[in-house]
Amino acid sequence: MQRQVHILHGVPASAGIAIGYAVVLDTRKIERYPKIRITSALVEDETKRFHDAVSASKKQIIEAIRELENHNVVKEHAFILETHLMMLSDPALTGRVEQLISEENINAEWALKIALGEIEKDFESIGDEYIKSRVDDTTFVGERLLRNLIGKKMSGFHLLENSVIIAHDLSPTDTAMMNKEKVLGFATDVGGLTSHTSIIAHSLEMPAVVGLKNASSIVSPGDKVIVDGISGLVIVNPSESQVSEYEQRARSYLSLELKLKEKAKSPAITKDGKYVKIKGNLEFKEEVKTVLDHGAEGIGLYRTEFLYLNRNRIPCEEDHFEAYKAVVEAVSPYNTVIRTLDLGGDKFYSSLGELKNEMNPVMGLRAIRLCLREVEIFKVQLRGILRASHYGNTSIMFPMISGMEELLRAKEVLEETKDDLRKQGIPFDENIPVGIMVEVPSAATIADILATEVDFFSIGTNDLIQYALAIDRKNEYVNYLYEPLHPAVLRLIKFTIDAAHNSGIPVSMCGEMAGRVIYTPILLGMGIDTLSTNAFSISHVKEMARKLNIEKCRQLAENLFQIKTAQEIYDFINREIVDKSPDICALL
Amino acid sequence: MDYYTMKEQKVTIQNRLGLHARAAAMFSRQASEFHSSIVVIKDGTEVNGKSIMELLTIAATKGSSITIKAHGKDEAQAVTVLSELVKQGFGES
Repeated sequence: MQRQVHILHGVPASAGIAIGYAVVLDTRKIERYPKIRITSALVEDETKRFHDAVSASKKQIIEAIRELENHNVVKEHAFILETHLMMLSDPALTGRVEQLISEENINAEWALKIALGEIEKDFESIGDEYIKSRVDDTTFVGERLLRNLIGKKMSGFHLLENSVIIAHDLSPTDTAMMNKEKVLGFATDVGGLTSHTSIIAHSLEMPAVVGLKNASSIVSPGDKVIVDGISGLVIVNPSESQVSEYEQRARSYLSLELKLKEKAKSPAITKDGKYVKIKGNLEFKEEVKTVLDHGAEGIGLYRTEFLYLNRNRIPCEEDHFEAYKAVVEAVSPYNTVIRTLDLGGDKFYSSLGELKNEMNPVMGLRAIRLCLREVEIFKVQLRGILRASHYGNTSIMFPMISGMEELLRAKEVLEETKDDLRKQGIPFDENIPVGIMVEVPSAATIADILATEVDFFSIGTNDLIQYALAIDRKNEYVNYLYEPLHPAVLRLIKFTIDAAHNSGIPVSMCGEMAGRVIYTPILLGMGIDTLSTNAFSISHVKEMARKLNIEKCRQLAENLFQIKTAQEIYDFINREIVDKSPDICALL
Repeated sequence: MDYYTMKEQKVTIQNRLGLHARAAAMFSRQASEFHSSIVVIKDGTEVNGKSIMELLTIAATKGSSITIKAHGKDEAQAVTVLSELVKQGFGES
């Protein structure tokens, strides 16, 4: 029997096309359940029914843990499930439910909901965000129990070949099961471009569509589905002709990918002959090869936070030096921009003593602010960077600079460090370029002043957008406001680029915006010199640049500033650039 | 006849993340192995030391002090072992 075809529209989160069979992970809360008063005679039966549900739930979770172990998934994920297992034996939950059944004479579902409500309420008053978020675990466990009581099964963790995961939302726990050999792609009801799901999909190079609103209730397990992560469509129970059409599209997408990979290492030169430098962002030294293979002409952002995380001491000079030397040597003759620590002190184990719990760590004591307070720790990192600069083309970059005083102080500490090295006769690059991240709106606004003191700028759009628009990206109520094309953001970017060029220094961009090809025309039009993106976007951005005419992009950028809203700007880019070239359209 | 005296000890949370999921799991698992009833008190709030959920709700962050009370035939041992667990920072490296 032919089932009904549905076409669902969402947000394309990760490019590619997946055609497979739906595994529906039902992660939505059960809102309707029976509330029944029972007689005392039934208390024993009802309690037994509850215990059976507990045993069933335990069995399912144990199975999931085994599944994870078979796939060598990160231990942390298995631990989360083990915690769930413990919660199922927790007297606060099971004891309370038993008590409610016997004392209030109510059925197990009702008792469970009351007990869960009480626990959730206790969690609400917790100040510590990290612990507070653990309420998700109790909710997860409660839902599983409720499902087992009602007899509505929670989908197991069994994945068949060619699975496409459909869910209301995917938690980090759910993503533990994303086995690339079996899962072809995924689609969720909620989420946007910057949600956890999208980022994971992108890094797994797995097609994904998010923000579909009701996919998880429309799709049934086993339905054939097409996930089109290019245009943001999900087709449920497609017709044979749709399947063959999409198989064709999947092939041409893959051949485009292949073609781009082949051209990845050649430079990006626009139609009118301007060379655009595309660099890669880097986190771990192990990624260097991948980034270079994807065509990076240097590292525009080497994040150093990993050195401070997951260890029980502050990294020593050798830790820094080893990590940086390995990268700059591998990347040379290309340049590597090493960014100094961009973390809050609360994020890493420290001998800094008690750092006060901050209400709003994003705007608190972090990055350069922390480094200027803990100068000795800062100097250890600077020594590591300077020493590495002897072994390859290196630049140094300070994050989160908000004003001139900070910049001058940071440079002063750098000079002191250089002096120390000179006195000790340790070699380093005397001409090492020094730059800053422009990511605080105040820095963008005084970019003309800051430009006189540095060798380069790098615009960090993720934070710049967040700070300029006063939105917390992690806050689901306001993250829809996160908009790279907001006229205010574009003005800050434009002002920064012009200020840099007036002082004769280059300016690059290393935020997510740099890696999305739809923005390439306006960024080049505004005059950006270098784009630095994650490995997988490099070949795409290069190919986009090859299809563009710089002069036309300039005109486009000039006209942009007359437009009042992000949506109109987006439409304008589409009308002027995308719609006029099928070549460009194919890249989006 | 209740002849146990009830043992208690005050300890300070040492580990970076406080009594978070992993630590609360270790604590409640260990506590469950004792016959004695075990309560943990923080700022006047008393919770069951054998319950991971209740332990999480007191949100004991690094530097906060908690009191561990045990009552039962192995109360002395329970308090010693559990206090030690907290002092060692739950074996976090």
